[in-house]
Amino acid sequence: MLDAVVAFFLLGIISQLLGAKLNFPEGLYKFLSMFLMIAIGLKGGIALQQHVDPVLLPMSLAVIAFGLLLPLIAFPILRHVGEFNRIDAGAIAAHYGSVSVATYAVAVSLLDAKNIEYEAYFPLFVVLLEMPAIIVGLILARGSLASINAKFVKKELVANQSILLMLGSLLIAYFAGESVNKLQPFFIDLFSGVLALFLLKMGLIAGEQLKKLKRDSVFLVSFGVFMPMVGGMAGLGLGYVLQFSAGGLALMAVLGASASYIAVPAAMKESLPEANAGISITSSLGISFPFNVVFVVPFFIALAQFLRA
Amino acid sequence: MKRRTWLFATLTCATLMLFFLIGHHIGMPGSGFAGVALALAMFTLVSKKLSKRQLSKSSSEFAITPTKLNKHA
Repeated sequence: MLDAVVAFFLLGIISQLLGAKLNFPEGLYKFLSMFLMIAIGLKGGIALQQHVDPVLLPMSLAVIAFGLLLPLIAFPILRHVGEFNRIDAGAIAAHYGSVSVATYAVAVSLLDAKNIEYEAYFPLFVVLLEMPAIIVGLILARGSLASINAKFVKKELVANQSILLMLGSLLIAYFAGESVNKLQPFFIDLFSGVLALFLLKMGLIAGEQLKKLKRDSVFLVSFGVFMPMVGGMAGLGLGYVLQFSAGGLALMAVLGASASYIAVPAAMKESLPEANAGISITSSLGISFPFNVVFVVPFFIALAQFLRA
Repeated sequence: MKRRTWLFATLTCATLMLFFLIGHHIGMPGSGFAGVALALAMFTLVSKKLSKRQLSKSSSEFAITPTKLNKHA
């Protein structure tokens, strides 16, 4: 059965492809993405209050290493098969190494709907996976370490809205104790409804990107489908090694499969202005995001359940 | 389309079909149907591509080129 939340995403794509005029206020889109980031952080913080795992540090290091590896898989494919120049290949690789908060939110929503449990610290992993791919992508694009320094890392950490909001709300929920329950009716209970609205908007954007695909976009479409499958399998493998539960396995696979389209484009615009942003967005948002929401997320949830049965 | 792109697209389709096959095996609804649809689409595309190549190959074999004319002369 099609999930009701995911159905809103399909509604967005179909209405865009049919040329329907659905006016979505720009400010509302920003508000919804902020809401989701805060809600994911709070959920993680509340769950972390109940149990802090001592193995979190080695796990975090493994997750960071995973984030460094993904662009290294994408880059040679983009360079040698797609024949992109170094700059564009590095920028697209960075998108595929980083994560999509919306795809993660869809996975969490589906897991909650199916009552499948997952490890509480996953929002921390989402935060940890945002940054490494940007750094690797820049190194690959520039061909040197010259552009990466402490000033750059600090600037990215402070300017990156998703890192700031998710990590901040995770820490707030963790240290606020019982008082965090006051926020629960707004941020936790309304989560699925807000996600449905957000996905409607994402569907409209994805439909617009799909329209831009040209006849000679065979490589881009193939890459947008191939990378989530490879990244997802790599994530599933890592989750298996780290001995996650069924929900944890699925989430790790989804993190590996997803491609960023909010944090990385902003970072690339600043650090790699000569890169063609249109290609990256079309690939990550127009192809990989719909593919992930419709097929990859339910697939890895089913596979994780099968493996842990 | 370039040869590498064509091969990569075929590899992607094959991987996707493998995923559908796994999905069908683990009881994911709709993946069997999607796998069959993809296999049919792939078969149509590959057969079209092959017949085009065959056509262009055979037409070049039978074409009267200056070298062939010189040989006969």
